[in-house]
Amino acid sequence: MRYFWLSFKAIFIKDIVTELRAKQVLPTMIVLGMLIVWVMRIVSEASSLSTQMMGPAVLWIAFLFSGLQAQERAFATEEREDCISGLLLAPVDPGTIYIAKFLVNVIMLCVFEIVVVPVVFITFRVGVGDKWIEFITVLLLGNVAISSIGTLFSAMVQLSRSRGALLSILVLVILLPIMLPATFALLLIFGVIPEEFAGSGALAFVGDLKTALGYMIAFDAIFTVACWLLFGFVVQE
Amino acid sequence: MRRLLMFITLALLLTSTWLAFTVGEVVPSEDEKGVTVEKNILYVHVPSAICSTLCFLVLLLTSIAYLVNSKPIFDYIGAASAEAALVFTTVLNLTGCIFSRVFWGPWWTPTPRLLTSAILWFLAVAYLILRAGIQNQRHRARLCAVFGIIAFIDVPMVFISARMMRDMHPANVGFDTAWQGVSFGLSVLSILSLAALFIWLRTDILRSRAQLENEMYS
Amino acid sequence: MFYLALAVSVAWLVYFAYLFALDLQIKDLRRRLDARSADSRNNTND
Repeated sequence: MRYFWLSFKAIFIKDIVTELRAKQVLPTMIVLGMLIVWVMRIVSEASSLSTQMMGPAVLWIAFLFSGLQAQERAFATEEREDCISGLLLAPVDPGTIYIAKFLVNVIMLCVFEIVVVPVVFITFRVGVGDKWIEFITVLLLGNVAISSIGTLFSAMVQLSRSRGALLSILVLVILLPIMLPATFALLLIFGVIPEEFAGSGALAFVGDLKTALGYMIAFDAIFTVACWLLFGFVVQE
Repeated sequence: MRRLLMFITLALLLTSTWLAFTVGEVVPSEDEKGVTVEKNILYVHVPSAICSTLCFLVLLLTSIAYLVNSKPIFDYIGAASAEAALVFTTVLNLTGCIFSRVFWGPWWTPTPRLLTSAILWFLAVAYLILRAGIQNQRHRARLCAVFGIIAFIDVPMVFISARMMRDMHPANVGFDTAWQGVSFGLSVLSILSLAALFIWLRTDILRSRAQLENEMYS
Repeated sequence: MFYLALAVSVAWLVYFAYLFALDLQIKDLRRRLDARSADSRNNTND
């Protein structure tokens, strides 16, 4: 157990320190996220769409496309400097590598959200009334979802030719099903849809906040475990 | 042996189509809302659904087998099965759109059935794009096997998630006469044998091509 | 009935398109195999 902690801490701190020194991915993510939010705001204003309804959707769109930047980072530098061979030669369990990089991704996404979520609040005129805990839970669940799949696929994609585009395609396809309950959860939390309507048949979405959260928790649990188990196969020679 | 399968497939396809058009025809009945229900299209739609899910299942099994075993034949069967899954989900989507047009008006709308068809199609496409993006044969086989497993884990998540969208029209599938049951069963069988044919042919092509290229470069 | 005919024709079109694509690949393979055997025959006759 102690061995796991040692190796985990090593990789974890290495990645965070690298990112803090290079200051490369996080600013790109944040700027990209803000730009996406602004583009969606302009577009929705031009087509007179309801801004409050668009709020959650825009949050998730910015989150997805900027989150892909973070996932790319996980293994891109390793491949460039061929650190991946070094990592594998060291007697580190591949699962540990996965967990360390996964947590770094989650933390980077949290930092991203701290900056971009207020921007969404301001531009789209949505706010969290008193449902702070649920809101943070939903955001965290989204972070875990994209990070779990992104870390695994980022390692996979290093062996191919077009890395970024391929990673985007793979991650987006797998994440398609979770977007439904995620957007709905945010719509409820922001109060755009009154609570009474949830769970009744009046909306396009059937089910309420508990169902959406339950689905996201199940999705995250299943995929994190599966990706952790499969990671060993991806990095073996 | 393969010619036998081809012949059986063709025979089954022709028989089931003929039956679907004549004896098994579901008489359009009036629904509660007074909308005429044209259920005949289910003869093509449902077998494609069954078959595409089966192809994903075959993909899962061969992916697990390849990760355990590393024999290239599993990789070939998996890739062939993913291509067959693409064909069947294409048919599923197209017939689903026709279905939606007949019943509800628009060509596509976010109901559970159409949502799952669309996402399944994208899953098959993603597998094939991943496959095309990697040159090294061993890497390709291993990574596609991993993606195959992840894709199959995603399938039930898609079903459950899409179930959260409101179903505009609950389709009641029941058979009025015995002939309809027979013709439906026959159409399912015919599509299954078509899938087997696709997978077999494509696996052979992949295997021969790999052999050719190995001998060329060795 | 019309929609069933439409669905069946669409489905058959897709299936036959795929079978045609497979057939093209088989022809290509056969061509390469024949070229290879002709090549090796020519080589062994030297």
